[in-house]
Amino acid sequence: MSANAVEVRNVSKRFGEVHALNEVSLTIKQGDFFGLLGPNGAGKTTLMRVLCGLLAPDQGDVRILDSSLERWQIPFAVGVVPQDIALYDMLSARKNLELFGKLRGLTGKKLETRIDFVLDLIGLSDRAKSRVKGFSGGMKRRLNLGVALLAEPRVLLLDEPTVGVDPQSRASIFELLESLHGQGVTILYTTHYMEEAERLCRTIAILDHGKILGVGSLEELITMVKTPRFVRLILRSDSEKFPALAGVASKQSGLRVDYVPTSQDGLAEILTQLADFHGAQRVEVVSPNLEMLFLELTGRELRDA
Amino acid sequence: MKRVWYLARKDVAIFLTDPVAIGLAFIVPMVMILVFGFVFGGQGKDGLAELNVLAVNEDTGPGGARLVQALDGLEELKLIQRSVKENTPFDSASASALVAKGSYSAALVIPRDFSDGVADGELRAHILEDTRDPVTAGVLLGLMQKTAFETFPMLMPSAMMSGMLDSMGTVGFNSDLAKAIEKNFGVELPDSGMSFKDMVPRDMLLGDAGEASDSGSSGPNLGAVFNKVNQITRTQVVGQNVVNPAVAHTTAGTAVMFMLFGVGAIAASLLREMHTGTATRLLLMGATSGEILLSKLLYAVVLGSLQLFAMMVYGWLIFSLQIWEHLTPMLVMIVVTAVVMSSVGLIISALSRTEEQAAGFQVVIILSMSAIGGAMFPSFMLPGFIKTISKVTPVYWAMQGFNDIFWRNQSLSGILLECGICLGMAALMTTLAVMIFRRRLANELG
Repeated sequence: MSANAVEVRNVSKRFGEVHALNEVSLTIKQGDFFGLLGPNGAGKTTLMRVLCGLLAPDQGDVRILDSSLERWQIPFAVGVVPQDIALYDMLSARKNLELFGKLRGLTGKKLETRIDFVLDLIGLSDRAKSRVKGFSGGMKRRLNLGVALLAEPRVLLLDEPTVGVDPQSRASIFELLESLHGQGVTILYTTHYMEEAERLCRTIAILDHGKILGVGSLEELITMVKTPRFVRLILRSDSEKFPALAGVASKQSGLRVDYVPTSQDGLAEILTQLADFHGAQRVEVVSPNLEMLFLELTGRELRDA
Repeated sequence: MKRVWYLARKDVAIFLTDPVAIGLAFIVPMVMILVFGFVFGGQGKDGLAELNVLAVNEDTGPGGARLVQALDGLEELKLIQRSVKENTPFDSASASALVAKGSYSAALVIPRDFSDGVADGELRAHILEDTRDPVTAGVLLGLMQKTAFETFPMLMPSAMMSGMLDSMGTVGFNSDLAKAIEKNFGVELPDSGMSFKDMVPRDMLLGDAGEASDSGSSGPNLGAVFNKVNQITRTQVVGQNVVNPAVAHTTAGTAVMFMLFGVGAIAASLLREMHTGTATRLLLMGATSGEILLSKLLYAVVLGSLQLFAMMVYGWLIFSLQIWEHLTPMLVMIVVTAVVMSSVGLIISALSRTEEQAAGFQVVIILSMSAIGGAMFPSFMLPGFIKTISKVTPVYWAMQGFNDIFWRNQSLSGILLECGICLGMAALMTTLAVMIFRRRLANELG
């Protein structure tokens, strides 16, 4: 058996004139927590749909757990969490799980056991008989995730599973995913939140305009960032005039002013000079991160893209 | 007020994003005007549409042939005298069987002694009728009498004279008048010295024969005269045992039409599944697009069958609809109807991309099918070409099935044709719907 859980080779997909995926290739090792980071419209959902078998690529092929993927044929060992909360509002949490479990081929005692296990895992055992309609957004997201866990997946594909979720539920989902990863489940996680990718993922691919711009661990990607550490000053208000520091390049964007030293030794000097400035809301040292890498690779900021 | 304007503009803007729904908003009423225009178009302008009636001439004399020829020349009637299949003239047994089967609403049987009857001042004929269609037999009777009196002009006057003579006993005529009558009407009158005024009572001449007769005046009873001439008998060959004839059709028709509205909800349900992403999730969990659609069909069939059965029970409770005597064929027809109507719902679902489109398609398809298929009003009321078109609608065959059961007392074997056609239509529509839906899902997912 291959050590790879997912292999994507030269996959392209066009929608009219738009290249949603442009010769995308990537490999996800078994047991990896793989993040696919990119702004909205980068091609994340298209790639996810190709990986689910919902969409046939124009070219290239996909293998999941050593099997070629056929359209509409999702391997049993793959769980998929769609971006939409795809649940039946008028049914209870248990009824939803029961329906999807049966469609996945689970029956009888095994189905009951799995439903109980999943409800416990997602923290909804006490609301099992409640209609989904009355759930909070976070509860629905957890149940949405729970459906994908019914068949004990070895590979879990999650398409932006925390969209519109409150911080508490987000933390709960993160814990759950980390726990699953700890049990050996391979996870592919798409997100446009850099913080999520940085916190959760062992391997991260940056996707933009249908192309993979870089793949590696967080540390490997950070080494690709050319911008050194710098000091960021956040002004109290627009009316504040930021201080110009001799020999230090500065760049303002709204309330934000970035001071980039010529050498790393210059950081302390900048901080000293800014200590007397009273118009600052906050002063911080910014280390190279994925946001910077994205900016360098695309010329745009991740959050604005 | 400005806010109301902004909100209204928002709704217009949303509406304008769906060109199909815009089209349907205008096309739907136009289609309905067209359908109802064709259905009722002939009424009030050109009179009744041409009626197809079976004619059996058993007369051994020349009178029957003359009457048939005269009737055949009428625009209002189309007389069918020969079996196309066997190319033989119908006899009263075969005509009766065809009326009983529902192929025709009425048959005119001219008896062997028709010519003798005319010679005796009697119009002898027999109408075999399906009283589910009271119009055809009624019109046939009227046309038959009118044509007979035109074809045999002496029939009524001779009967009247005969009646007068019968009623007046030995009273004599004015000799000049007697001669004139003898010359013009060919009857021989006893000689008398009475004037016409002496012979015919004044109040009768003034127009009220009934009162004159009822009051004991010595005039002829014209009602009795007409009854003597009119020896046309009518026989109901089907539905004699139906307790409440109109209800059988009304109940089935209303139930079928509203069932169609019910199954139209499949479209809304499917669209909801597609918009909320549950349809995609079902695919991800291993269901196929065909299975998703067939599950909707199954749901609609179960719901529709229960709805139809409940309507029939309601008909029984309120109007004594005879459901228990026909339980097995009725249950089969209910399920078959539910299947075919649900497949109509599937087609609407597969074709609609928004709920507005679904609503538009639903109104057009359901109302026009109900109107021309015989669910809104009995098919005998429809013009000929609409009757022909109606046979491509499942509503027509479902209604035929229910009419066969409740009106013609048919057992299971008697509704096999209707069931077969309905199921064939359902299979075709379901296959089409699955193909359309599969392609649509593929397109919508990218």
